[in-house]
Amino acid sequence: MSGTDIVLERETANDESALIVAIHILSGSAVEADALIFDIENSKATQELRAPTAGVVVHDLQVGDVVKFGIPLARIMPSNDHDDPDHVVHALPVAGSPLRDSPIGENAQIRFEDSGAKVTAIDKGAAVPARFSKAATALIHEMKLSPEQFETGFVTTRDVLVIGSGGRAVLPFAEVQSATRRKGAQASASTKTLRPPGGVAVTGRKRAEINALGEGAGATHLSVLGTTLGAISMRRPKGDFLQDRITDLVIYEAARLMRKYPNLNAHYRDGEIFRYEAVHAGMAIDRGGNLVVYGIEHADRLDFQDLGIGMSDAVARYMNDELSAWEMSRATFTVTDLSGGVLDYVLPLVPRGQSCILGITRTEPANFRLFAGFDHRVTEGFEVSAFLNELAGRVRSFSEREDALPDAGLCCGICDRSLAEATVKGRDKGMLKIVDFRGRESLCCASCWNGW
Amino acid sequence: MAVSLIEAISDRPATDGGLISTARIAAQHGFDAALRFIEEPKNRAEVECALRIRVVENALYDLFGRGKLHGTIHTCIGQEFSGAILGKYLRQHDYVTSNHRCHGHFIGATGNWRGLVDELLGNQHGVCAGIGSSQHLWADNFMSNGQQGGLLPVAAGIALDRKTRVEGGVVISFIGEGTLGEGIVYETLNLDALWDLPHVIVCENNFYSQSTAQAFSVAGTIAERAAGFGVASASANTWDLPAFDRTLKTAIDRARSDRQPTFLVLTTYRLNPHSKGDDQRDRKEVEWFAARDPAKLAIDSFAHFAAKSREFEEEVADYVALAADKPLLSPTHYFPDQRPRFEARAPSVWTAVDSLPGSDLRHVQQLNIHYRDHLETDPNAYFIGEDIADPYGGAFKVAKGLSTAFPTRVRTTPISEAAIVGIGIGLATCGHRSFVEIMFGDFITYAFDQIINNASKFFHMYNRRVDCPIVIRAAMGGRRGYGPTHSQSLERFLIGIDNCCTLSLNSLASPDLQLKRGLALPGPVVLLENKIDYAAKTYVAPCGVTVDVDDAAIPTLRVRFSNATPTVTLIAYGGMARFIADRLIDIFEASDVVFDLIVPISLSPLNLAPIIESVSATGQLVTIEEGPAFGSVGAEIVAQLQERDIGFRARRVGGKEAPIPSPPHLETAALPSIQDICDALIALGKADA
Ligand SMILES: Cc1ncc(C[n+]2csc(CCOP(=O)(O)OP(=O)(O)O)c2C)c(N)n1
Ligand SMILES: [Mg+2]
Repeated sequence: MSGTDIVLERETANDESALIVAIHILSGSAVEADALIFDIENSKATQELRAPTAGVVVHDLQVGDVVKFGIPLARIMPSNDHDDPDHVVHALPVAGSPLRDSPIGENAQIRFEDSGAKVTAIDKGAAVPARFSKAATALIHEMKLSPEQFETGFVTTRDVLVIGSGGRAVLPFAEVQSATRRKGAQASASTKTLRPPGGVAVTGRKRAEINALGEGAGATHLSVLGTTLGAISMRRPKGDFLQDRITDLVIYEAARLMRKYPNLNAHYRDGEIFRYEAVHAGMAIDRGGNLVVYGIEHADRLDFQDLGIGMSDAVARYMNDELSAWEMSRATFTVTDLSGGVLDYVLPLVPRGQSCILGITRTEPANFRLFAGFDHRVTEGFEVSAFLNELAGRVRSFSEREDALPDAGLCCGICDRSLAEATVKGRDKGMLKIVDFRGRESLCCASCWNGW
Repeated sequence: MAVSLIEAISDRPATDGGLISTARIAAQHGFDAALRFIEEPKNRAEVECALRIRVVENALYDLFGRGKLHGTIHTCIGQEFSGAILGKYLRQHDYVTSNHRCHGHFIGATGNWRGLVDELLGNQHGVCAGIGSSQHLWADNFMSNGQQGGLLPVAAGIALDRKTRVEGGVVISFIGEGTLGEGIVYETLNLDALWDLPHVIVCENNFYSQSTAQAFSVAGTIAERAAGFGVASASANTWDLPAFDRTLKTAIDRARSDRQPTFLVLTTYRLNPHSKGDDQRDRKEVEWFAARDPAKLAIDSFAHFAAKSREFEEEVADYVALAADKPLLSPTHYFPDQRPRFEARAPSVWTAVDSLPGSDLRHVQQLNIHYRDHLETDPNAYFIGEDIADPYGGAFKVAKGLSTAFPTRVRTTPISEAAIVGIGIGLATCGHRSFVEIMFGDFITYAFDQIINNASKFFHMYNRRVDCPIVIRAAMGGRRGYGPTHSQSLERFLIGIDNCCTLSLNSLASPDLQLKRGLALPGPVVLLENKIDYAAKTYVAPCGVTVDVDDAAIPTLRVRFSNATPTVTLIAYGGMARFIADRLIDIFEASDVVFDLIVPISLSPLNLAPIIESVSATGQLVTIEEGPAFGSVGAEIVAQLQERDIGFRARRVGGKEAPIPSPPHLETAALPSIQDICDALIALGKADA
């Protein structure tokens, strides 16, 4: 995890410090070896500081800062390996905090203590130990992070989420702004952004498309496609909280499809597309006016039963107002189920940090529709349409309509009975779909499932 | 039903003699004396002045009747000699204040009947460019205003100025007998007597106030009211003109040489309706007095006066005919006020407060030094208030030592919030920046008429020629257990006053830093100090937190977490700002929110720039104040930001809508708590999800 420090060498005997006159590479950016990072000026000359190795440069400097000789003023972290983002992420300063031994920007100052009697000198540049909100402390614990990762500043759950999600989960708060402001400087001039690594710059064609979209009437990047699922019936235990819903089916299948359609498990920011490593399915919950999106962690790896349990658990905890900020912001795509009432159409809005949201409606008691709202800057209608059709097919496969039974060609993977045979009229049983640990799918009739 | 003196009196036999006889006997007996005055050649100027007033009033009344005057007028027909003889005794530095029935006084004091006619016709040649019309006149050394009695303490303030000037000068104020129902009359008489002010109050007793006969509005004896304060009273009438002349001279002389006030009751009778078409008096009664009208007597008995009167009529008619071509005041000239304009300013430049000179003293001592410095550097400044004299030094000791250092300009006053603010206004119009202390901010309510109808209006109403640099200081705020009438924060009633700045100090920085140029404003300022701040020393920010100040004329403070990005903007002022600043870390820890705390010092006008700067970055706003949120500073901020189309969401936290109770558990519940603030922050966060 350690990186290579960039230390300012003393050039003249007279100077204790030098002035940063230009910053060519923002903190958080990847650099090639020997790339020019800073221009620095001492009483004699201007000096260039270059990257000693390739990697990600991390610093907390602004033009106009005074830096001391012999002290590291930036660090090059090993270049990010996509499979193991933790490397870089954990070394990133939090909430704009400077590295602990970073240079001193302003002179020490004198303050009066409350008693009025004691005069202490506080070195402004010296890092103030990090302070945590109660919720942040709890979240650090929950996410199995360590408080040491936060060196200085006032840490809220927002900061924890940015670090905890590997700096690339693009949560609403991923914009980490340095709040260190120099005396008298204008606020806007002294903020900067730490960019989470791992983004893919959009192609020229896409950029042109984005620009065109941004200039159109209504200027939106949101688009929506829909399809009819038809009647889906599920066998549910009595009193199941999903009763006649298909939320879990959609989440289950969509989460798996995300591996095939990574653009829908991604987000767009500043000309780059960030694709999430993990698939955390968002389940929109709103019972009583407070809409939250609960992120089901690694939904693509859960079996059907665990998914259901996880969902009902989340709803219960939502009711008790127990969901943590992390749980409510980690989703990488979202499913919103509006099939509680009769609706023809929904235009689901893509949450921040995501590129796709699925909406479920129904027009008759057992006749569902599926809609996908998506960010046109990341994906496009062609891709989403393929995704949606595949998803619809998968969801439908759980329960074909009766009139479709004859040509279904679906058989129980154990006893080989056809769906038509397995369906007992009036008892509405159908077949279950089974996914094994390799992700292979097969069907199972009710009798085999129940062990008869 | 016609109401008349005769009827009113017959209802109340006990007062019969007191009223009917004064009016009728004065007219009956004085009429011969009127003739003597009129025929005396040395009085010719006064008689002609009375005729001039009569002619102008008739012309105005006629124009009014024909719908040529916008608004209303109150003519003084029948009472002209009151103003006419006044002119004879006025000297250069004397000052006259008057009421709604002021035309005669104005012509008598200034001779400028043309300016009056233009004023009523509403054109720019009017004495006040037509702005205020009939009841709101101003000229050098003359002022009238439309609220009954409201100018009396202002006149007393001007009298205080005249008393302390080498050139001297006296002030003569006119009120009607109906105005004796106003408490401000007695607060002023009390102060006139206590401070030996050269102030002559002429009470024109025409036996009616609007439609109400005196028997229904004035109890007891008028003259004895003044006597109760030890103010000399005198009486005269507008028939026995030689006696009125002598009495007025005596009163003005007493003010001029003995520096003593006089209360002169001038019996008179108005022959026209109160305004127009609103006369319910018995016609016979009016006719009886019309037959004993001294102005008519002059015209009827003396050919040269009859000729003068005709000449005046032609002159006035010719002048009125010219009015159509005169320019009208432009709205762009009229509306700008004297308050600082923050709008045009560039983005705020922030400086850390701890890099500026500070002080280790308690806030109250710092204020004391601030005002002491002001009194020292500005030899014209006055500082008055209840109980402020040494050794007591004011309820909160802000004035400690000041009365010893500046005995003539620092004065302790009776409990008369309205009158002392009025006196401050009078002093201010004479170029003295005056500080008036309202012991508990709650009692600024007594002074509302003075602030709203005098201080705030003079500048516009008198066509930008009158500055009123008064600073009304008041101690606001709760958390001391003082209960319902000593704990309030009334900012929301103050911020809506035109042309008046409402400033709210806090203890996050020194008063010197907060007030900079705040006290050098040309217009009125309500300066709110806070009771819990008094005892505090200047705030010392916890580690990792900075307090910055911007560079506006009246600055805004900002408390900010370093090394963290604020996601919500909090706005608080006065004692509430310190309350929050002292609990910054608690709020952060409990709410999980990093915020900016923006602390405006000027609540009205608001400097939106630093607020916009913060809210544009955070998109979320919580305003917090001790007074209820309904119609509050917070409400105004939210509304103004809304109009700038900055996308943001807001919550207002305010005190409960009930009197502030004294027991600690109830008082705490009545005022915003840390919990309330955290709840608002969390609610905003939830709505964001
Ligand atoms: C504070 C206030 N209340 C009410 C009025 C409305 N008003 C105007 S003149 C008037 C009567 C005044 O009577 P008086 O003082 O006797 O004067 P007069 O009209 O007889 O000259 C009233 C009630 C007012 N101008 N100011
Ligand atoms: Mg009257």
